[in-house]
Parts: sequence; structure tokens; C-alpha cells
Amino acid sequence: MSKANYTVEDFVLDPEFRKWIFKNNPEAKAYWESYLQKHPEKVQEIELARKILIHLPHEKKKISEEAKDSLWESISQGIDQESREQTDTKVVNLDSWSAIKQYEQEQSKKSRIAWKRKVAAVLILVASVGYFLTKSVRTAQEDTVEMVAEIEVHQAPPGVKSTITLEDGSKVFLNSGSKISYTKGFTDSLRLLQLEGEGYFEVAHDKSRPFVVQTGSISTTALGTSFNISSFPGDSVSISLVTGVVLVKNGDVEETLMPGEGIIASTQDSGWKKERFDVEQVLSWMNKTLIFKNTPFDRASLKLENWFGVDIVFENLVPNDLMVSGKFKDESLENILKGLSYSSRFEYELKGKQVYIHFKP
Amino acid sequence: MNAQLQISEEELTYWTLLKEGEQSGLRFFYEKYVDDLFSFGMGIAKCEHQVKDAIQEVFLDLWKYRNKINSSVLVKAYLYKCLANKLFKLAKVDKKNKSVHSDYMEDWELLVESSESKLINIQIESHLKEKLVKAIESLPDRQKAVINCLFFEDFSYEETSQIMNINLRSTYTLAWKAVGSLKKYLS
Repeated sequence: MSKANYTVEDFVLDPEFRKWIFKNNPEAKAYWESYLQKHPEKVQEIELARKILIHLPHEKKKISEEAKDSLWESISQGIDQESREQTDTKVVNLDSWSAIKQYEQEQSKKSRIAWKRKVAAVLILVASVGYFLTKSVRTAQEDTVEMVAEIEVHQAPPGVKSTITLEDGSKVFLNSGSKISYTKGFTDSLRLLQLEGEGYFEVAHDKSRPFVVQTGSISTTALGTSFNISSFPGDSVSISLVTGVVLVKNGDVEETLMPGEGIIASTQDSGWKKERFDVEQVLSWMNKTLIFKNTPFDRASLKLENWFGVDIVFENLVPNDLMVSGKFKDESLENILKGLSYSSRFEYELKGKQVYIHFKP
Repeated sequence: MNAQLQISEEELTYWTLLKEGEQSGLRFFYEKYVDDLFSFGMGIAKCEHQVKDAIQEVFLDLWKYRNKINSSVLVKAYLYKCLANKLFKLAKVDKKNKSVHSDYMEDWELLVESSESKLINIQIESHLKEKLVKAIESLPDRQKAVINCLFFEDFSYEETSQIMNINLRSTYTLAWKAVGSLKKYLS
């Protein structure tokens, strides 16, 4: 486009023209001076264009430092919130075999679980409404209460182990036949979970929100540690601390655990005993390893039932004081039964999900 | 290509951090551009709250879509573009209640600083400047934004057209109209 017909607007908008006016760029200067010679009739336009350019006001609106900081705060919070939504808990199966098993289980349990969840949510809702109602009697003024409490439930059916990353970054490894439940999003002051069965917890550090695992009346409180809790129905509760410090509480009784220390609590009474534990043995389930060490046979069979998701049926009485020992890493049920049958003198038969055991006289 | 708009080593480092999900990466771009973005945004929207909200959204978007954005993109131009988009959309929504937002302007200072200060020994014709302030004030939002990009943020026509999400010809037309109105105020 020829610049011979330039108007004021064109001059103003021509970057080369601006170079001449503002920077006195030598090339631009030479060009526009010769242009003026060739087109003296453009003098007035050029003059006006220059005026516009050099007087163009630049209103620089400043944002205050405080506003800048608080704006960043809200951005940062937005990010945290978003990432919390993203790391939504998911269950990762430890291997494909267990995935298939889980699928089978789920098919049969789906309706029951859904129903259970609903009941749980309703119960919690009722409980929280009740709680807030009683609370509001005292402080009738200050209640804008969030009533919606969504309960998150994760469970590893018998035969399946799973890993869950909670929204705060903590990790939970769930053993077969175990379940955790917690209020979605936790609260500002507490990360409270209920555990049934066995789980290993790697707690993300958060001083302001203690991490509390409840197993019946016993609560285990941690800030940022890793520990194992086993509380299968009918069995004693055992808490084993791997790193950090935890506080174990049952009613008024409490005990602080240091790494390597554990507690075994009876479910019948409130008594417990503190003892050192064998890390390898306690955490063996995470390496798909089953360890029995002078384990009473009925307890061992409970473990097998959970581990493989089977039912074990005794066709005759389990001999008194029958203990089993053995270490089975990633072994099939068949192999474990074979191994145990020699020392414990029994015959077995596998029929689908049923195991029949017959002790030899 | 404009030298200042090339991706600097520093920006690239923080861009990488950002892509890896480090907040410090985002923080860097926030600290670097928030002043310019605010000033640019105020040129379009006038309401401080709107501009702040839009800036917040822009950075949250940058975070959210960090993995989808091409690494070679100019972060500065990208931020301007997002901000302009959001503010134009907002402007469309509340076209009805188009009021002077001076009530909201609490604590920002108005700095009138003309390009003239770059030049030495030039007579100040303050009445001219006042006229131009009014002239710019009265421009439609999109024309104002184009003028801001071209004259104050030193974006090229290509970059301006990207920021405004319009083609080159329209960019030029908008600018041409804007300068035309300014001219009328002076003559």
C-alpha cells in the first residue's frame, strides 16, 4: 500500500512512523524526511498525527499491594480446591486377578452396598442434624450449618486389596475384606476415618488437622506418620506404628506409640497391652505375603477366608491348640492349603468359593 | 519480531515448573504481569472488582489448562487475550447497567503519564492532553483495548489481533476508527 495517500489515522497507526516520532530511529528518520520532501502537502496531517501520538495519555491504573496479595490468595485457594476435586479418591487394584474377583463380588453386592451407603448417609445426616439441634439450644444464634454430609466409603472385598489416595494426600492400603468410611472433604479441624478390617495408613502431614482412625471405641490419632491397624471382627485390634508418633485412645485410657511399638487391644474389655512388633510380619500383607507364626488354626483360617474371598467349612472339630506357622509370598490358596495340610494333618477340597477341611483322626 | 516478546530463558524455566504442577511457576507469571494486566483490564472494564475477578479466572484457567497450552505460546499475550475475552464477555452481559463505576474505585491511583515524557524539551500543551484523556475515555471498549495494546503494551498488529480474537483487518479498522475519533477531538 502506498503511503502517498496516508491520512492522519494511517500515520498514527504506522509503526515506522512511531519509530521516527518516539525513537528518532535513523532509518525511519531518513525515510520520513524524504517522504515530506516528496509530499509537502502532507505536512498538516503529519503534524496532527505527531500531536496525537505524543499527547496520547496513558492512564496507568495501579493495583495496590494488598489487593495484589489477596488476589493471589484467592487464586491459590482456587487451585487447592480444584486439585482436591481432582485427586478424588480412587481404588487401585493390586493385580488383575483381584480386579476380576472384585468384579464378581461387586456384581453380587452392588445393590447391597448402594443401599448401605444410603443408609449410612441418612444416618450421618440424622446424627448431624441431631447434633446441631442439641448444640443450637445453647447457641441459638450462631448456626449457619452445613447439613450435607456426604460419606465416602471404600472397601476391598475379600480377596481384593486396594490402595486409596485420600483428598488430603494421605494414602490408605486396604487389606482384603476391609473398609474405610469418612465424611467427604473431612472438616477444617479433623480428618476422621472409620476402619473395619485392616489398613496401612501413610498420613500426609497437616498439623492443623489431626488424622484420626476409629476402630470401635479405639481411636488412633496422628499428624503425619505411617501405621498399620488391624481390627477384623472377632479379632483383637492391633495398632502398629512404623514411623512418627501416634496417640491411641480408648475412653479415658491413652497411650503414645513410638516407631516399632504396637498395641494389641481386646475387643471384649478395654484392656490392652503394648508391645514391640515385627514390621515384616505386620506389613507382610502389603507384599502379598501371608505369615503365620504359631497362629491358632481358627484365626489362620479367618485370614485365609478374607485373603482369598472364600468360605472355609470345617467338616469336623478343629483340634484344640492347633497352631500353624508358615510364610507364603504370593501363593495360591491351593498351595497354601497343601503346605498347611502336611503339618496340620488335614484333607481339603476346593469347590468354587468353598473350602472343605477334614481333620484326620 | 519484537525482542521483548520473545520467550526468555527465565520464563521458560517457570513455564516448565508450571506445567509440572508447581504453584511457584504460576506465581512467577502472576507477579510479573499482574500490574500490566490490571492496568490493561481497567482500560476495558473500569470496575476494579470485575477486573480482579477476571484476572483471578485467567490465572486459574492458566493453571487448569497448563497441559493443553502449547509451550511455544507467549504467556504474556496469552494472558492478555484471556483477560480481554473475559472482560468483553462481561461487558456484553451487563450492557444494560452501563454505569460509571467510580463508586468502586477505592484505592487505585490514577497516573497520567504520556509518552511525551520520553522526549526532552517538548512544550507541554496540557489542554491537548486533557482533551485526549476525554477522547480516549469516550471510545468504545474494543477500540480502547486495541489502542492500549498497540500504543501502551507495544503489541504488534498480529499479536493485538490474537488478543482481541479478531482478524488483522478488523484490528486495523478498530484502531483506525479510534484514532479517527481522537483526531476529531483535537481538530
